[in-house]
Amino acid sequence: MNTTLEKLNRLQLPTWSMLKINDTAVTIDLDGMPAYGGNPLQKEYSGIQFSLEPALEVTETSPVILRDIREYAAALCNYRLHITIPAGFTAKEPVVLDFHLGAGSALLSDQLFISAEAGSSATVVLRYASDEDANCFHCGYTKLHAKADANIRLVKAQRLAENHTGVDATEINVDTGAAAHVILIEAGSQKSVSSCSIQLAGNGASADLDGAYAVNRERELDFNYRIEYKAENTQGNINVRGVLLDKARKVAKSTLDFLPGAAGAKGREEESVLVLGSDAVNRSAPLLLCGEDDVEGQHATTTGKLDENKLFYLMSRGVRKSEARKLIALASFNSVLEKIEPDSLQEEISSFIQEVLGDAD
Amino acid sequence: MERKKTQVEEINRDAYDIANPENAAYKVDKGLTAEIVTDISTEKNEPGWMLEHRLQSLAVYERLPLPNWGPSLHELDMNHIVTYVRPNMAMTDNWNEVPEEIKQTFDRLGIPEAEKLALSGVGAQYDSEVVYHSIKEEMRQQGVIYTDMDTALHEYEDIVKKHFMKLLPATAHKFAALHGAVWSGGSFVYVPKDVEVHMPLQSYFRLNAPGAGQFEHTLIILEEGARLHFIEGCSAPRYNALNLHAGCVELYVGENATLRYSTIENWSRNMMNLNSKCAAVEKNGAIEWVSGTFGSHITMLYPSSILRGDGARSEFTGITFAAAGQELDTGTKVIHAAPNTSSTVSSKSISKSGGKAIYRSAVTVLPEAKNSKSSVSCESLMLDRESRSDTIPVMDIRNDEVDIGHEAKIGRISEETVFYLMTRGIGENEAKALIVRGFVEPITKELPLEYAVEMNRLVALEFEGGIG
Repeated sequence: MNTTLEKLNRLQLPTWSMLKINDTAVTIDLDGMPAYGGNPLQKEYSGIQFSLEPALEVTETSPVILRDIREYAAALCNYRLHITIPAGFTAKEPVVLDFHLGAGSALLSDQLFISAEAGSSATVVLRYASDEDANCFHCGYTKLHAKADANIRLVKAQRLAENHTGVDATEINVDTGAAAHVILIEAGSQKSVSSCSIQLAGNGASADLDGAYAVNRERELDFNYRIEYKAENTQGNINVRGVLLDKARKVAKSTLDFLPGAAGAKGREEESVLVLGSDAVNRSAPLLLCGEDDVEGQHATTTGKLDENKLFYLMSRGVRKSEARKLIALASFNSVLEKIEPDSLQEEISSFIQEVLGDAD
Repeated sequence: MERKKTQVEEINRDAYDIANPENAAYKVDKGLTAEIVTDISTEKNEPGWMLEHRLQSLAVYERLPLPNWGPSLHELDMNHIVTYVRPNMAMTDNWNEVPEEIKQTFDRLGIPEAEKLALSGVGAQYDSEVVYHSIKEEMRQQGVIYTDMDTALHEYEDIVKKHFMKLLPATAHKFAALHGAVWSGGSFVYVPKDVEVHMPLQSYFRLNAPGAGQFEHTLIILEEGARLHFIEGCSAPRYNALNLHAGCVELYVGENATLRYSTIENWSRNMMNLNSKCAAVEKNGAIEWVSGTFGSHITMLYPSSILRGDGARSEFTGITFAAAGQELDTGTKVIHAAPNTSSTVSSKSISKSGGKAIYRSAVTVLPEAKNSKSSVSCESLMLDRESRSDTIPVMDIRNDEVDIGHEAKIGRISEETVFYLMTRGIGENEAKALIVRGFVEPITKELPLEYAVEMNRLVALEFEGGIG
């Protein structure tokens, strides 16, 4: 029997219903889908604490944009892990959790809690992938708390097979003087719904959210990114690069929300989309909400085709048109790709984008 | 230490706030029923198809919900609104025949003076009906028609029937349906092929009756190659009762024609302004919206452009000023429905004293609109921490041969810019004044002269320390 997850990725302030951008839904047949039973931790990481019992509670005040995914993930949960990076500890290598879904382990609903204690520093990588020949579904919720002066990087890569659906939410709290660097990659699935809400809660907190997506054929992507500035002199930026081909459908929602009291806050959101398919549908809603006067907020969205001058430049040097198109498109992702860790994941994402671009020939 | 704030004076409303005693020849009961709708149609001796249209619109109104987005409209109770108030006079084209108190109202607003100096024609609506309409003889001889909608409905019935509420059907939204049911007054303009109207036409809508609604309909048709600048002004005195404005503007811009439509919405603070405007633009035609929203308690206003001919273009230039007790939700919609179409949007807002300014837009590029371009820019200046400024833009792009850009900025006056000007010998206060004037200048220069003066009065500044 089909189950419908409704009102996902709600736009923080709704607008005209006819634009069909205020929320989305997915319908999944969960019957007989075996629960995830794998172990995503490929190795031990000394100095980092792992526990099945989360010490971090899900907050009642979770932002509306991800509340529904959080509740669905809690209701379906079959994997829960709490990761603590101790105070003052610096992790020398990325902590990698590799979730792989397949025939015997098809339904993953994970709740992950990452607590970066005061002054700690680490990179956490979450990769979600699946086997094409199984019926798989991922519904996840990750909560990251960067405590005072912590510096944490979170990389999430969605690599589900083309016939699968993924629904994912990330909630991040950043305390005084702490910094969160979030890299969200959408490189797979038939339909992906992704939300990320960052609260800059302490004075001087900062966050950078970099996103990249490549969507082709009849795939769908709906993402909703938000930074909330709650304290003084906070800084947060959203930077997204994407490419759409064929009959791909994408909805991008991003919000910078300056709350009263966020004096001196600065934020910028930017989305740059290359559209290489005449039947692609590209929708964007970059919101800028402001209840504090002493801030600087900006957004910029550009949608376009490949730069003809660059194309000519490369072709005049003997590069075939299809190859030149790929090179230019791939180059537009560089600002995000170069931040992906570990290198093997960076190569994997780069290969996926090139594979998708190959369809544009 | 408490920060001193730059004071932005609000507009002097003395001229607008003088109310005349009610002296209606006829008005319907409060509320919205089929009987009231039928009464309005009967009073106006309308053809049967219009009554049918009204009743169908009423049915749509009753079916449609209130919008589930935007400002709360919970204060609006149609059971307390009078939808039709006919003033105690017949329409005339002789200013001397206008009753003294109504004449004085329009005198204070400067309408006759403007007519003499800078207009090709003037229409003046008082409550639900147009009381004065005139057009220069040379325009008439060129075939330009400028009259009130009631006259048009009888004298140019076929044209009205072909165009009336075709761009904004009753099903568009609840307040378009309301308009379809109870509309009255408004202007009809027809400019024949290749005729250029050199001086603007202006219609002014004055709502005097407390607790009443004004639902004027404006229908403008420009044939191929025609040019026109149309100015619309609106005001009402302040009452304790809620007033409602739900007008409707439909603009048809023919091939190679250009229409500039300038509006200053300067309603009093008891007004809910839920106006609808839409333009359809044919091949190589152009619509230029210039929109200033200063008054009202709540405004929801999004002039829309449908670019349906190859090479059609639209420009939207808007400014919103939200002060205490105001929630002004404004912006624009553009639909690119043909190849090589282009649109530019430039929107600015100032909010102060708890005012809330919202910029809301939608740019849609349909699959057939290859090689289309759109550039959207919106900037918001907040003058204190009690106010809000939100931007909610949406872009819906459905082909790969487009060039779409959107930029928005929110913030207060840049300290660096103030410093830069001060290093060049300009005093701090003057430097800040220059910056705020510079902020609104791109908009004010697009306004008709009398409104630009009004706008400059609006931003007359008393500088005491920094903005914020």
